[in-house]
Amino acid sequence: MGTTFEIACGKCDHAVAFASEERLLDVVCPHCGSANEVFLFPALWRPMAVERGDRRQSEAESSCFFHESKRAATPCDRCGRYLCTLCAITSGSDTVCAECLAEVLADENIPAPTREYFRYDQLAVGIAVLSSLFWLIAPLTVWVVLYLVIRHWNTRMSALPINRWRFVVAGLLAVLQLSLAAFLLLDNFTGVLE
Amino acid sequence: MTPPPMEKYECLSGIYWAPLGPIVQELWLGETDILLRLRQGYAERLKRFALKDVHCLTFTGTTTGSVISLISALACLTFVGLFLIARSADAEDSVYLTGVGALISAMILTVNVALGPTCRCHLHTATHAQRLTCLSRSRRARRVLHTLARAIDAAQSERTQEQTTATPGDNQPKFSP
Repeated sequence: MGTTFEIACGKCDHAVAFASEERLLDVVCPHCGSANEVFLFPALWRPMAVERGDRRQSEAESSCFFHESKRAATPCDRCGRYLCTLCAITSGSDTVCAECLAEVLADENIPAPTREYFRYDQLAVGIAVLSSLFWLIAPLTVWVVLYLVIRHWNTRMSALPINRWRFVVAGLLAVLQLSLAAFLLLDNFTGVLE
Repeated sequence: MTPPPMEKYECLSGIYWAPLGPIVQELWLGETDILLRLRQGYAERLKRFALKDVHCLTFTGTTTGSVISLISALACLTFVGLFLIARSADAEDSVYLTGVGALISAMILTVNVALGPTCRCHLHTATHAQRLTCLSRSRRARRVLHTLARAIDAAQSERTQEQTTATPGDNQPKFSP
């Protein structure tokens, strides 16, 4: 038997210890008795790699801008300074130094890497559907929906590919409600329907 | 600062549309990472797990599906019984009410049976255990975990080969890939 590993039981969250070198195994929780199927991957056995930066072997080698004794591994994609493996930060497809990353995060003109988005398209279609069900609020909500559609048509709303069909549906519903309200109002004055 | 290309992700867990819904989780597979999209109301948060950092995936069968089936079956039987009693007593309102109740509980039972047994899945890294709530039905969960396992294996075996080339005799996994 090899090294002992520990996982939380999928049902009761109690720690379950096991020792195995098999890739796929059944681990029974001693607390609740439920069977956990566990798929193990090579990373579990791999020793944790800690980046420390390689030392320079000779004066001829380029050194890291921030650590003179470390060997340069890559240049910063923004400022061009040489960086060791410890200082190089991967952001998207770029490698940057900590100073450039801080500059990017501080600069409002450059979009900062974000982990949170707001779905204006879902909000717009939600309001449009709601106002279709409750006619009394439609005269107010129509304008909100149209504002959301026009203002946020080009706003990035997800890190993943999405299309704008919700905006189209919301816009069409809003225009329909507006047209219907205008028609009813007109009829009230002119009696077109009669 | 260019973000990673968007087209490379593939949705594994199905897309949920929830205009006024609660927290919704979606699982996306990229070339180098697994992306977990969490939607709460209209806000969307992201969690990324690099394929090379995943230690294990766990699958645990639960009895939630059976309990739902049992309760909806009992409800259905109760409503059908009440429906028959109401019909024999010529109580028209009660007939409609119990009929609709029986229909709804039968629909819940049918949908639950069609979706199959329930489960819980977790993704473990060295520092984190993430529950994959979007994988709550065994059939889909097994299919998705199989896809994930293949992608993770491919990513980690590439890395192992790189390590072998760089440092011969370094610690190798003791199992066949």
